Amino acid sequence: MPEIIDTSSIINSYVPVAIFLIVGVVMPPITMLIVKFLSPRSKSKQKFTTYESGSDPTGDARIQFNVEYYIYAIAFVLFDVEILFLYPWATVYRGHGITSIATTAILAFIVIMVIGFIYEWKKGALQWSTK
Amino acid sequence: MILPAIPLPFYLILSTVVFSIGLLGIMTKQNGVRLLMCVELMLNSANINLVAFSSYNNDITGQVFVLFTIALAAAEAAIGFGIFMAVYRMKYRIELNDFNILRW
Amino acid sequence: MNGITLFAPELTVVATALVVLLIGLFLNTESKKVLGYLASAGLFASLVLTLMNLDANAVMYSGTLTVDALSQFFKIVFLIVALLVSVASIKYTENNEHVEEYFTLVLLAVVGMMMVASSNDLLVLFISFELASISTYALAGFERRNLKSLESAMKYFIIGALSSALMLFGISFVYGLAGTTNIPEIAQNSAMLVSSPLGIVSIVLLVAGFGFKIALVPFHMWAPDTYEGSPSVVSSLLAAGSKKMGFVAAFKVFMIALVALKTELTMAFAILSVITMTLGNVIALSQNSVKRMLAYSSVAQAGYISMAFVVMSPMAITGGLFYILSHGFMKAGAFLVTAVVGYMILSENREAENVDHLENFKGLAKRMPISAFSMMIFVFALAGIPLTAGYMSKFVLFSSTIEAGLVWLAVIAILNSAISLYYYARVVKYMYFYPAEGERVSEPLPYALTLIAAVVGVLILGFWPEPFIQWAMEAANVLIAT
Repeated sequence: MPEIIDTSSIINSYVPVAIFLIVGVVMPPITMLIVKFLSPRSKSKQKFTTYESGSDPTGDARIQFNVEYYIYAIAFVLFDVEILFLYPWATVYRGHGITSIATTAILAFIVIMVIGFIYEWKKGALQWSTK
Repeated sequence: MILPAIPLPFYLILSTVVFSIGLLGIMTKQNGVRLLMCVELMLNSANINLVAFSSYNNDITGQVFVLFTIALAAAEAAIGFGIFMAVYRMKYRIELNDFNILRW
Repeated sequence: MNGITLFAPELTVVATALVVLLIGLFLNTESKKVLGYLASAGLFASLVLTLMNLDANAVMYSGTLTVDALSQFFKIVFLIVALLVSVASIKYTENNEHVEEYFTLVLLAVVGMMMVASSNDLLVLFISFELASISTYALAGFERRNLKSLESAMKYFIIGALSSALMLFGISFVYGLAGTTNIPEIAQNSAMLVSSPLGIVSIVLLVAGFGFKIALVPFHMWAPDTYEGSPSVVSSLLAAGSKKMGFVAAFKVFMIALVALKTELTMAFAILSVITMTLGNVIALSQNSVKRMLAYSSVAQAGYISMAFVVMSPMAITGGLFYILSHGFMKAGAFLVTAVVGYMILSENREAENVDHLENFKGLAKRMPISAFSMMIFVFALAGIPLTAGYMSKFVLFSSTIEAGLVWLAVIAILNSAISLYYYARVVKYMYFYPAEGERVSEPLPYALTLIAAVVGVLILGFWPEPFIQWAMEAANVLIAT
């Protein structure tokens, strides 16, 4: 069991965080106020359109995403978390040779992932069909 | 600056709160996607526990366990979304109350 | 090198799963039939490999996996059930374009179950448990155009995900208190677990987590829905395989890891098992869907098997294990009969609904004699009629309960068996004493083969149980010795 630590020291250690928080909350309104008093005003129609990186905005902002997008998202998440397993492997790999069991294991792992990838590809899950 | 260690009970309280939120959500919500989110909360509360215990016991197993749980949670979410999508294609709804073909 | 030979059964099944998936991608729908044969061959090879190492006893891969009499016993149960299911599925998946997914999922589910049986570490146990669960969620919803199948998959998924979250939370506390996830090492610290309130919380969570998979009564709500709605072959895998996986996990955790708890757990499991068997049997009485009736009967059988957790004597555990073996044959067989009947009804009328209704079993003896006869054997065995596997397993289990002085428990269990006779006999009455409402239909070969194999299994276990009881006793000794 770990030793009991005085909780007040923990609270003290969060003082910098608290200062940061207060500054973060107070500063933006102040700058916005300064801008309001100092900046010149020019009202035109262009000024009030939605900003879309310079091009003219089209359509509504609230659109429903195509359901196809979900397959991509899921496939991405799956491969993303699978690749995470390479990290602990990499940290212990030093000192193991190319013929070691560590290499075999990770190769088997990657082969299984590649089979999953081939399956996805072949089934057309990576094909964006616009019907 | 090195922060002093946060005592273990703090982590356990946090994880229990997160777990209870997830459990409450599962018991009260009807929408399939919300249920998935609640399950995710419950799994992650266990992850908090595992990492906290791992660091307090000076034992790496807990952190390895968490890596596996994250992968499993992703797989579970994928299957769950797959099932919900198939249901949605048939019924255009994923509210659990609407599913009552199977009853005793 | 030793590790690889002992691990070969699992590796064979994994390799078969990957090969089936890859080959299936490049075949057209007609020639996909070969995948079913391939999967069955892989399972058979794995069964042979397991039988070759029946007496093995080893701990492998830095103490995460163990091969002993118990693990081999359960592996063989899982492989037999999977083999029956996969041969029957050759017919079920005919002309389906998703055959490769189906068989890959079945094989991966079996690997998960086998690994649970072999696990010696809570991490491995949890991962394998999830592998089997996730594969079966997808299998339950395999009929993507059938709302019933989808609903059953949805319910199964939500309850299953909840139960694995509970289990993981419990495991996290066990890890924190014991400082390790290795099961024998936890056993050394289990006294500390009992004394801590967190330990009690974790044990409650673990009982809930395993209880969901086993379908013990407060956690059984998903089982009837899922067994009824899933494709019959999948229900067969769930009832005969997935449920046993819950038992082996519970055996490992409660009897090896948490030995110090024995006395605390006894009363809890006694109450759970009495409620489970009574509720299962009583609700089964009023069911008109045969699959739903079998599902409730399966809940009741889980109640009988949990008596092993109450008594915890070597004889009771032997009885529980023998019950698990015979239940594998009986329940898998009974669900496969509903699959055959479903095939028969659907081949007459493609739009038929509720194919497993009791009405459809009318005069089955004249329409499909092999199926009717096997169903009769299976339900009699489930009821515990002498000279079948069910009788022997009930006999061993109940007599060990009386020996341990828990006469009241044995009396309740025997009364329950008497109740169950009513609804089992009703199926036989419909099959044999009602006139047939249709032509004679010959069973497709894969179905007929699996039914005959399951009947032979049930009868062998009934007529000649000694070697199998001996074998179950060896497996039980693994649990007792620690």
